[in-house]
Amino acid sequence: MGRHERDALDAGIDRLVEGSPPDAAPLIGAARVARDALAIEVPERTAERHLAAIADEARAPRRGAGPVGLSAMRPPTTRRARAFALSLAAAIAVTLMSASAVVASTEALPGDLLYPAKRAVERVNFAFHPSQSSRARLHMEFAERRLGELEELIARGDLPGEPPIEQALAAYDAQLSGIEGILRAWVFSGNEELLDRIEQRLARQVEALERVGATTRGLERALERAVKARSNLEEVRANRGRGVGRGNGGNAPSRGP
Amino acid sequence: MTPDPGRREAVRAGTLGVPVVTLEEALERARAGDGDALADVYRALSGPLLSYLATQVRRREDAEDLVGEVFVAVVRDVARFEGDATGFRAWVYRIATNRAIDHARRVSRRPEAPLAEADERPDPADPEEQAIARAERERVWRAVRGLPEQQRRVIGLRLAAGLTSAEIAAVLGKGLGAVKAIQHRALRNLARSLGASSYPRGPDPRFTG
Repeated sequence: MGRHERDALDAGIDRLVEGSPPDAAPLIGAARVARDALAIEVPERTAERHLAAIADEARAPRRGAGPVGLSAMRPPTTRRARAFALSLAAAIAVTLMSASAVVASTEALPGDLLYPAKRAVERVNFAFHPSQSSRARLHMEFAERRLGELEELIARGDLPGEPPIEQALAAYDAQLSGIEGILRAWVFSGNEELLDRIEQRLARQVEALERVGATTRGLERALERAVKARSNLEEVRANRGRGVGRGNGGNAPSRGP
Repeated sequence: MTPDPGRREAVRAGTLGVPVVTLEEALERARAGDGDALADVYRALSGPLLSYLATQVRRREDAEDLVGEVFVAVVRDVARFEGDATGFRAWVYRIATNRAIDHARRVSRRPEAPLAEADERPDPADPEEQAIARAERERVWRAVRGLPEQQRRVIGLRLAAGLTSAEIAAVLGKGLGAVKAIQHRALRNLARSLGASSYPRGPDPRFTG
C-alpha cells in the first residue's frame, strides 16, 4: 500500500472513530496501536535463506495432480475438533472391514486379493498421526515393509517387469517420496534426532539392498531409489547447516547454477 | 528502521515508489514457473506473513522458520493454484495457519523470546526513547499473544497480516458474522489489556473464548 493510500486509510479510520458508537473508539484505538506494533520484517539473511530454498523447490520435479486452493483444503480447526474428526474417520474405516480381513491382509503381497486392504489399514494409521514427524516415521516403516514384500516376491519367483514387482517398487518409491516431501518442508525446522534416525534407517536399507541386490534381479531400482533418498536427506542437512542461522553469522546459501 | 505499519503487500516499486509489479502480475508469472516472480511473491507477502505467524507461535525464530516452510509449500503447488490474487493470499494464509497449528502440537514449552531484540540496533541518539518504544511494543505483543486461540488468530490476520474480514472468513472457513463477532471480542480484550480508559481493570468473563 502506497503512502497516499495509507493516509486515506488513516483518514477513514478517523472518520470512523468520529462517527462511531462511543464504545467503539477505544477498540479502534487498540486496533491501531496493535497494528503499528505488530508490523515486523523478515531479516535480510533469513530472506536470502528462504529465497534459496524457494529456488531449490522450484527446480524440483513436479508431483501431484488436480487444482489446489482453499476449496481443496480443510479449514483450520481447534485441536479438540481435529482429534474428534480423526478418531471418527479411523473408526469408520476399521468398522467397514471385518476383523478376519484385517488380520489376513497383513500377510498379503502386491497382486494378492487382500493387498488393497493391507494398504488401507496402513493409510488409517496416518489419520492417527497428524504430526509431520510421526508421519515421517510411518513412511519409513512402510517403506521397509515394501522392501520386505519385494524380497518375498522375488523369492517366490516373480520377475521384474511383472505387475507385482512393479507395484511393490512404485509403492516403495511413494513412501520415500512421502518422507522427502516432509524433509523439504523441514529445511528450516524439524527434529534433528528424527533426521538422524531416518538417515540411519535409509543407510541400513541401502546396505541391505547392496548386499542382496548385487545378485538379485529386480532390486537395482530399489537400491537406486534408496541411494537417491539418502542423498536428498544429506542435501536437506546441508541446507540447514548452510542456512544461516539465526543471527549467528554464516554465509548466504548458494543459489545453485 | 521501524517498518512502515501501513504497508500491506509492498510489491516491487519503481523509483517514485509507484508499484511496477502487482501481486496479480507476479502470481501469473509465478504460475508459469518464472523464478523471479516467485521472489516477487515472497517479497510481497513475507513481512505480513511473518507478523501474523509471530502472533501465533511463541518464538520469533520459529515464526521465521514457518515463513520459509509456507513458501516452500506454496512454490510446490503454485502452478496448480486456481484463483485470483485475493484467493491466493487467502490460500497462503490458510497454509500458514495450518502450519502454525501443527507447530504448536510438536514443540515443547520453551520460554518466549522477547520479540523486539531480533530487529533492533541501539539508537545512539536516543537510547531511552528507543527503550520506551520497545517496552511498549513488547507489551502489545504480550497482550496479543495472551488472547484465546481463535481471537489471536483473527486479530493476527486482521491487524498483523492486514486481511479484510471477508478474507479472514475464507481463510478460517467461517462465516463473516462469526469473524466479526470474534474480532469484536478480541478487540475488547485487547483494549482492556492495554489499559483503555473506557474499561475497568481486570478481565471481563463475557469476552473470554
